[in-house]
Amino acid sequence: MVGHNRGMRILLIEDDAAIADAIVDSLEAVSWEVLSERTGAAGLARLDDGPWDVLLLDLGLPDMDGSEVARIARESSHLPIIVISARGDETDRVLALELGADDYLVKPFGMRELLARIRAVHRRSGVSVEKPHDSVLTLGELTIDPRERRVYVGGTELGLTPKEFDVLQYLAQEPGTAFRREAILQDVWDMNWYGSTKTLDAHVAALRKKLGNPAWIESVRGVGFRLQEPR
Amino acid sequence: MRRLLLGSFLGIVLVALAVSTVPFAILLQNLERERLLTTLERDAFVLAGRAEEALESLSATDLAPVRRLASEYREAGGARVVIVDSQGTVVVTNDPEENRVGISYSTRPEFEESLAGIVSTGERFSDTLNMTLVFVSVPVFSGADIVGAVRLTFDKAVIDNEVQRQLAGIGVVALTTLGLGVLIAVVLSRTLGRGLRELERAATEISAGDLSARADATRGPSDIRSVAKAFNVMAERVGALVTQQKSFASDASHQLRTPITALMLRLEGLRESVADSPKSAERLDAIEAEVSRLNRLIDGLLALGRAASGTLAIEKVDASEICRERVESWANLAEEAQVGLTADIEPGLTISVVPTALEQILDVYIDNALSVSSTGSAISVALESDAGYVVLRVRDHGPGLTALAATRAFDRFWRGSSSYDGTGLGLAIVKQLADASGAAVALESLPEGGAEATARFPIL
Repeated sequence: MVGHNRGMRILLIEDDAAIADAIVDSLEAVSWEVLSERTGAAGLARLDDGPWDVLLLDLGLPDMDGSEVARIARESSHLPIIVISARGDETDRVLALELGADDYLVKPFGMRELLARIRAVHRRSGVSVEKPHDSVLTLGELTIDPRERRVYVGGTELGLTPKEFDVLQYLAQEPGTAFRREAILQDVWDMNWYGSTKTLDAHVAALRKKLGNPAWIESVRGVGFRLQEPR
Repeated sequence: MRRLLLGSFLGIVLVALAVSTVPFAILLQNLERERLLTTLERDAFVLAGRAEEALESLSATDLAPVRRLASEYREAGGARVVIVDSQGTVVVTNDPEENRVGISYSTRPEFEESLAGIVSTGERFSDTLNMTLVFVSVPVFSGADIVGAVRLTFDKAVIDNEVQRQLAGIGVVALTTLGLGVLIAVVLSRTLGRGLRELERAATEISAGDLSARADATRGPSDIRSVAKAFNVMAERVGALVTQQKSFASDASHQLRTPITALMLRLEGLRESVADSPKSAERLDAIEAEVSRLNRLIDGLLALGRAASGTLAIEKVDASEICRERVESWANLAEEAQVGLTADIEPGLTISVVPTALEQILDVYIDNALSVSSTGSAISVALESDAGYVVLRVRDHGPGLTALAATRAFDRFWRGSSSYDGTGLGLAIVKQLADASGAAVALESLPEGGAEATARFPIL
């Protein structure tokens, strides 16, 4: 785990008890404070009990539409919102982001993705008002410019294919965190993509070669990949 | 449809008119001729009666009244009259010039017959008058003796004119009938046609994917309205079934994702607490691998459903460029596995497919080929145009496959030795994507060893 300075306070609005408890458990395991509510109305009522660092919001709520909750929450505060949904269609994502959500997490997800997303959203909300994914990232000799979609190692630009760039950018949202293959495939590839999980391995193999040192992207057995600075 | 209706209706009217009018016209012509001949025959006998005494005496005083009678007859619109004596010599005519008197007509067939006591009727063409004549020739009896003959001739054109005048009347009636028929046919076919066109529009829209399209069942003839109603009920049910099935597959898959998320989060939590037991970690790895497989299955089923739904739009792509790019991105992985990956790609080939179909097909094919390739063997990818098709071939030098495996490889959940991700859905999705793109896929063993996977895309 990448170190974090203090525990975060998370507000969770999720109607399914099993997954809510599992999320609470996972977040409490890293000593974060979590308050879980089952309905949109109850969750919105808790907004003033803050300050909260991040709102985790399930879209399928029993009393009101999750996107409506996002809209109301967005009106009253700058609280970063991560939408959780079983539907990963492009239209659903775009809609949620347009309604003011800061990120969109598609089920199923693991603890690592969840923590990484919360940290990333929190970090962005604290640092600047720039649009997400637009700030230049530097990791040792590696520089990723999302706006220009350019990547440099030690000042030399690499010629990456669009998908290679997307994979690298995905891993770079939280350097040091291992991301699951399925999660990367789901987010980087179009939802109409099924293809093969090896597709990702092929891109990672190409990326490693272009980065010049295979140690940049480490394979984590049984999980997936993580981006880290070679020692 | 409208033209057919119009045509058939007018056809019936025309046939009915022909069947009734033509025999009637022929009958009319015959009747008219008969009527005229009967009149002529009657007139001829009347004249013959009046001429009997004059023919016996052949005196000028006796012949004069006969001649006057014949002239009056003609002036009143009657026929031309020629009266001959028993020798066949003309004694009376009602011609204004009378220039035929004294000439012998004994060799003319009608006079020959009449002087032999026979009534002779018929038509003949007269060269002198340049017209077709209808004639009646009757003998003149005095007691048992034949004292002469009376012949009446009439221009046949008079009959024809009369017939034509009457036929013209019939024609006007027929044309009026036909006109009314056309009017009714147009109105009927337009009404029927409108209903059918309306049905056609609804059916076309539904087959194009708009399941909400309905036919207008409120207008048109009752039969068409019932068909439209039945059609709408059918469309309603089909629409409901399709929506139900689509949303079932999608809902079921999405619903499965929530417990799986909980399962994954719990597993990771568990991993923290057994961090010091390598055996437990191994078991957790196995469980996570199974959860991953479950995820892949759900994604696969969703992908299969999407590809089968027929809602994906077809787009034109640069097949050569995609092939080159995919092969390049697999090159490093092949290199790590020490398998040669070569490409023979014809440049500038474009195909029309559902989005990312070619990429996914290539990935599954290359992945399958890699999984059966042993260290040091090679895989070749080829893209070429062949008689209206763009053909993709991925060839390996692995163990090949049985005939059964070759035919069943694209079946859902079929897991041959080449099944790469444990879901048995990869090639099924390839098949589905190919179908949606109008392409054909095949997998076969090569006689020289190894297997070849192909995809044939029609050039549109």
